[in-house]
Amino acid sequence: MEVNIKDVVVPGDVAVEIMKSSEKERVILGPGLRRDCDRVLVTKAGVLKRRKPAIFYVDSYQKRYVPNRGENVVGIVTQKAGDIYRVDIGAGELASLSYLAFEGATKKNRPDIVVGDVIFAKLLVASKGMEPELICVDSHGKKGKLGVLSPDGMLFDCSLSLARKLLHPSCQLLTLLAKEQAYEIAIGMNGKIWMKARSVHETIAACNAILAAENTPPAEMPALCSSIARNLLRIS
Amino acid sequence: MRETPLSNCERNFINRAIAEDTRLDGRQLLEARPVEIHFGANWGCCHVALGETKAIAQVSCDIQQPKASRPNEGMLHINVEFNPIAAPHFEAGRQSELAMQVNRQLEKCFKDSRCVDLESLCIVADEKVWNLRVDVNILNHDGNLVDCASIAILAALTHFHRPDVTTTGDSITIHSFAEKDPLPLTLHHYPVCVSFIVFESGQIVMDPTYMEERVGASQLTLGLNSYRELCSLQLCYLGKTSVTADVVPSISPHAANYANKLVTQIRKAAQQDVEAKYNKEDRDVCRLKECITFGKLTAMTKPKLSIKLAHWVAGKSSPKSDMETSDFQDEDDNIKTLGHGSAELITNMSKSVGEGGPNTWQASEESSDDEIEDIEILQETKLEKKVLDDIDLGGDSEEEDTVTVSKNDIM
Repeated sequence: MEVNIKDVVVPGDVAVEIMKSSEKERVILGPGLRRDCDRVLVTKAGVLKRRKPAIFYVDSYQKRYVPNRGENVVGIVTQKAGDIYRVDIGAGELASLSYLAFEGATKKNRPDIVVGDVIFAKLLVASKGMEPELICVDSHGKKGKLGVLSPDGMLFDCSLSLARKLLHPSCQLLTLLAKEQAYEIAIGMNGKIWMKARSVHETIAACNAILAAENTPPAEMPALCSSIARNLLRIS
Repeated sequence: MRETPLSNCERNFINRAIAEDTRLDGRQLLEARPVEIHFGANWGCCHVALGETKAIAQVSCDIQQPKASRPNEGMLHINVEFNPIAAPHFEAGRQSELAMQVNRQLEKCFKDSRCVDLESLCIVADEKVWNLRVDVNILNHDGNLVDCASIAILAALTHFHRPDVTTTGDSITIHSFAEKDPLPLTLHHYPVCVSFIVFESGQIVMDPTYMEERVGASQLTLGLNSYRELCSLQLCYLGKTSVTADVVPSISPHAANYANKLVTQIRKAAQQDVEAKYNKEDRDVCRLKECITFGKLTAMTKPKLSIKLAHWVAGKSSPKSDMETSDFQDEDDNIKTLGHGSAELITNMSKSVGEGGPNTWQASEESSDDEIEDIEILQETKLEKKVLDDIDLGGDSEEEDTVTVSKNDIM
């Protein structure tokens, strides 16, 4: 079936609009689209979207993470193997993280990481058929916001689309929530969120708000945040 | 596939929360998740949802030669299957250690407590008896598989009817359902399993979720029937902490009350469905479709959050709306009378904020450079609801103009 931008698409649909774009323009096909000779086929179910000038992608609901280079992810250290850590980031394979990929780490001075720790890292290598590789420093050798996350927080899973929604610059939720209570958060593009607030109740409240945001339109986010805050008052 | 490892954060946090008498999903420590029971078109087919844990059970029967040790008794087999459909770390084909343990626990609860009257399943002693087989498939794993499977088995056994048999001399006739009405099984008592998890802090939690099962120190499963009798007991150490002796007496009265309530619910559900099946028009109706939630991307998941505050109800202005009962579409709608001979059905959209309901997801996903009508559409639907204020009652014809919002408008 032929589909246009903003249609709900299913695998096998042909995106006609992309072919119509002018010759000179460089078309970028994002996730869920694939070129087959002179046609562009849809490979995922979702909503076909376009960003100016010519970036096309299918926005879909998904829980399984496919690593992409340069994305920040939250992972769990599962194993120490020689000079690398094996980190579970929810992808098909475990990612590797060298102990030298931390700020100020040398062969003598190893970072203090134990199995079960949660880390926030950037994907350095993520290609098909290769083990993904993580680092916890930026290109200047500084750690920035990356590194081991405190074990006092809470880790929970959400859908990939919710993680993307929260990280979108226009999403107001985190700002609104910050007006109600203090918290620290690390959102991984792999749908894992680490969250820490002052008390157990506050952490649960913040997690609750974030999970509820999945089905909340932006206009109702202030109401959502205030209802969470009211509930929190009632409990504590 | 391997199981996702448990991080230290989750372990610490859950232990800390339980020590403060708080559970992540907002339940009390000794509160179970709601149970939903649906029956299929066949006799003895039952789907049970215990929160997000789901199981489907099917009872089947055939005629076999009895065991030499018990020549005048029928046979009962229980078989639980853990497939990757329930959780990715379950392996297909091979029975895992957990599956064997659950299977044995259920056998203890149902077979060894002799709840099914096996003697009534004998046709010709030492030659032919009915062999009952209960197959349980776990469809989704969110902890407490034993309880969910036991409810499914009990409901399926209560619902099951076997074909009638007549013996004349040497020959046996098995009547089809059309010839003679099928017969229900005779159950002496109705056992169910009730599970608890004991944490390192000594707190006891009922009906644990998957996460709580992983963090907990020891697991305790009681098999109880509606007469408050203990049918089976299983204590399983998951961690290194020991359970103090007073755990069992401290929870058993609560467990017995809960089991009693559960059995009443199961029997009522089964009885309703059996009665509906005896009404001829209703015979082949498959009620499994009722467990599907509409208007959601993932139709089988309930509109519930895995982490929520104790009294949090979705929707800002309607605390009275009860999410537990919202499976029925009718309760979401209310009918307002506008005048003589006219009424309008208003779908209560506002209550589903944050917990499922129609997907209103695109508005903020839209990238800033093409911010077209997406936000306006939301306003349009709101206008729809307000229309009832402005309707003029001039015409007394019963046909109101109805405006239907098609799916295309919302997308």
